[in-house]
Amino acid sequence: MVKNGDGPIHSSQKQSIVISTNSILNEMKLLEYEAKDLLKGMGLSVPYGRVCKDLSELESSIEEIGFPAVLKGQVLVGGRGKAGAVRRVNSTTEAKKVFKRMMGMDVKGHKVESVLFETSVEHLEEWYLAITIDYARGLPSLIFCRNGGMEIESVPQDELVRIVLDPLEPYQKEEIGQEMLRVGVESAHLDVLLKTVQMMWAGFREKDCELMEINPLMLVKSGGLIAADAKMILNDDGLFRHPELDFDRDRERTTFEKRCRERGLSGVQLDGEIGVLANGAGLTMAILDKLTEFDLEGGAFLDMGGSDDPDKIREAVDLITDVSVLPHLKGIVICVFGGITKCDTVAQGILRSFYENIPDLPIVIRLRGVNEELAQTMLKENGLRSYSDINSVCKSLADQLRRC
Amino acid sequence: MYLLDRETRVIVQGITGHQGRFHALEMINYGTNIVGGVVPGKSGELVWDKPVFNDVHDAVAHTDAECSVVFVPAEHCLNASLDAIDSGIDTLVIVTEHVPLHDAMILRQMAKRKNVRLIGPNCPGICLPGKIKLGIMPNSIFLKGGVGVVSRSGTLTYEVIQSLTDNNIGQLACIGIGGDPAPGTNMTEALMEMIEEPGLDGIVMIGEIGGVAEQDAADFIKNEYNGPVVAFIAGRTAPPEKRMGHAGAIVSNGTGSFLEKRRKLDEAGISVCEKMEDVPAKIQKMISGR
Repeated sequence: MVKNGDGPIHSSQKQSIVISTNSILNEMKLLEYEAKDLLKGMGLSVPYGRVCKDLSELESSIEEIGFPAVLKGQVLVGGRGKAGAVRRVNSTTEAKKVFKRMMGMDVKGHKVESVLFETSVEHLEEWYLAITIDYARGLPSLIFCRNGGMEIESVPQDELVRIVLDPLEPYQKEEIGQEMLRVGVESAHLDVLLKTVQMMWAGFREKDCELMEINPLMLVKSGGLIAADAKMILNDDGLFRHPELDFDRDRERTTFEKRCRERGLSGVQLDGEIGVLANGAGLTMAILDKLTEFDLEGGAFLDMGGSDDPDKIREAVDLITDVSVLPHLKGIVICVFGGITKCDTVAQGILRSFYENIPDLPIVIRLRGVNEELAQTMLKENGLRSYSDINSVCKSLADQLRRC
Repeated sequence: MYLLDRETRVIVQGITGHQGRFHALEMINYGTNIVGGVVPGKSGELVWDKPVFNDVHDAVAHTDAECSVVFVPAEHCLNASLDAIDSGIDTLVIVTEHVPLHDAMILRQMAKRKNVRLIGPNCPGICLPGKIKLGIMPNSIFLKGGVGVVSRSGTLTYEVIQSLTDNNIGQLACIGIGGDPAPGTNMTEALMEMIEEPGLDGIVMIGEIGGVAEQDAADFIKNEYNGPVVAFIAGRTAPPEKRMGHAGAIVSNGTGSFLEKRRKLDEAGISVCEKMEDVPAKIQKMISGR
C-alpha cells in the first residue's frame, strides 16, 4: 500500500549533515557521468555527452557532439556551479580554455579529475525526481516536484510528492499518477513520467542503490524526459553482487582508509593527533569523544570489528602505528571490550605487531571483557601495561604526551 | 518481554561455522534452550550434541523451535532469514553484519507481514538476564534487575551494561537493535515493547550520531512513558560530513547531529549524559527519586 510521506521538510540546508561512521563507510558515491551511464542502462534518457580526461578526448568529443555545450567538472560533492565547475561553452577555443581551467580545480576539497562535455538541452520545464531511503520507516521513498534545479528543501509541502515504496508491493502506478497530477503535471506528460519512475524504481533495487536523484529532470519539447544531472549513491554492502560495476571503490579514501578496507577493516582518517584502535564503531566514537575531555583530538579511527583472529588484530595494529600513512599521529589508544574478540587474542595481535616493529609513539592499551586477566599477564610479561578503565587509559596518554 | 524465557526453544542458523559454533555454546552456557541448528547440507550432524537440519522448516518440524539466531554470511542471509520467517518462528535475531540494505528492507517488511519479531541485522542480539540470551553479548556483563537497555551499538553496549553491573544496577532486558539504517526492530519499536515489561524501573538508551532513531524514540517516550530514561549518544565530537544530497535531507527530517538529538531527548525529559561513566549514577538517581 503506497502511503504519503508526512512530517515537515527540514530546512537546514546551510548546515552540514553529520553522518554516523557506519554511513560514511557503507556508501559508494558515483560521479555524475557514472550515474548517467547507469540510468541509461535502466532505460532513461540522458544528454549526449562524453567524459574527457585530456585535451585530445575533449577535441574528439567536440567533433562528435558540437555546440552549444556544457562542461561539467566531475567531483563527488555538490556546489559545483558556485565553484565554477559547470560552464556553458559555445566554441572550441572557449571549451579548451574552460577545460584547462576546470581540470585540477578544487571543489570543496575535491579535485576535478575528469570533465563531462555534454550537449546543451533545450527544455520546457525542470523537474526534481528522486528515490531515496526514508530511514524513519526503513523503506525507499519517491520524491518529486515540478520545481527542479533549486533547493528541494524550500519547496512547499503541497507542491511535493512523497510516496513510500514497498519492495514487497507491486508498482503502484495509479496512486503515483494521481499524486503527479495533484502537483500539476499535465496528463499528456503523465505516461512518460510514470514510465521513468518505474524504470528508476526497478534500477534502484537492481543496483542496490541508496540514493538516485535526478535534478533537473528536463521536460523537452517532444514530450520526452531527460536526466540532465544525476546523483547516485550505491550501498557498499551490495557491491559484492555487482561485478558489472567497475568503479574504483577507494577513490574517496586516503591511503590509510584504503589499506583498512583492503584488509576488511573500517578506517577513517581525521585531523587530530591521536589514533584510536577499538572494536565496534560506537565504542570507537565514544573513545574519540572521551579524548576531547583531555584536550586531545582524534586523528584516525580504526574499528577492528568482531574478529577473533590475532593476525587480523596484528594487521590493525600495524596500520594504526604506521607513520608513513598516518604521519600526523602523536599517540595511540588501543581499546577493546572483549566479546567475540577475546582480550588475549588482542594481546597476541599487539605482541605480534610489536615484535616486528615497536612504534615510536606513546601507546596506551585498555582491555576489558573475555580473558582480560590472561591478556594483562601476557602484556605485562612483555613490559606493556594494560588498563581496564577507559578514563584512566586516556588520562595516561594525555599525561605521557604532556611530558614529551 | 517477547514471552522469552528459559524454556523458549532456539535454533542457531550457521551453527557449524566458527561464529555460530562459538556463540551457540556461549548461549547454552548462559542457559538458553538451544534445541538445534540449521546448515544446508549438514543435516544429521551434531554440534554440542544438538542436531543440525538442512533448513528451518525441517528444524521446526523436529524440534518445535520458536526462535532463531542467524550467523549466516551476508550473501546468504536473505534466503536463510526468509526461510526462518516462513517457518513459524516468532523471533528472529540476525547477528550477521554487512547484509545489503535492500535485503534488510525486504526482511523487515516480510517479518512484519508474518508477525515475526525481527531484530537486526548487524546486531548483538537480546538478553533477559537470568532467563535467556539470543546473540553474542558476553555472558559475564549482565546482572539481573530492573533497568531496560536499548542500544544501536555493539561493544559500546557491553561497556555500558558492564558499568551498570559494576554499580550493582541490574538489567531487566537488554536489546541491541544493531547499527544498520533499516533494522528489523528500530529504537522506537524496541522501546514500545520495553515499556510493557513488568518490573521495569527505568531505561538506558545508547545511541549514535546520524539518522533519526533517537529523535523518533524521544517523541515516543514523551508521549508514552513517565519513568526514568537516561541516554548516551556516541559521536558527539565527530566532525561534520558533506551533504548526502537534497532528497536525503528531506526524508531524514533532520540532520542527525548530536545537538539535534540532544534537543529532542531533552524535550522528552530524557537525561543525556555527555560522559559514558555518568550513566549508572544518573539512572540510579532518577530511579531512587521516584
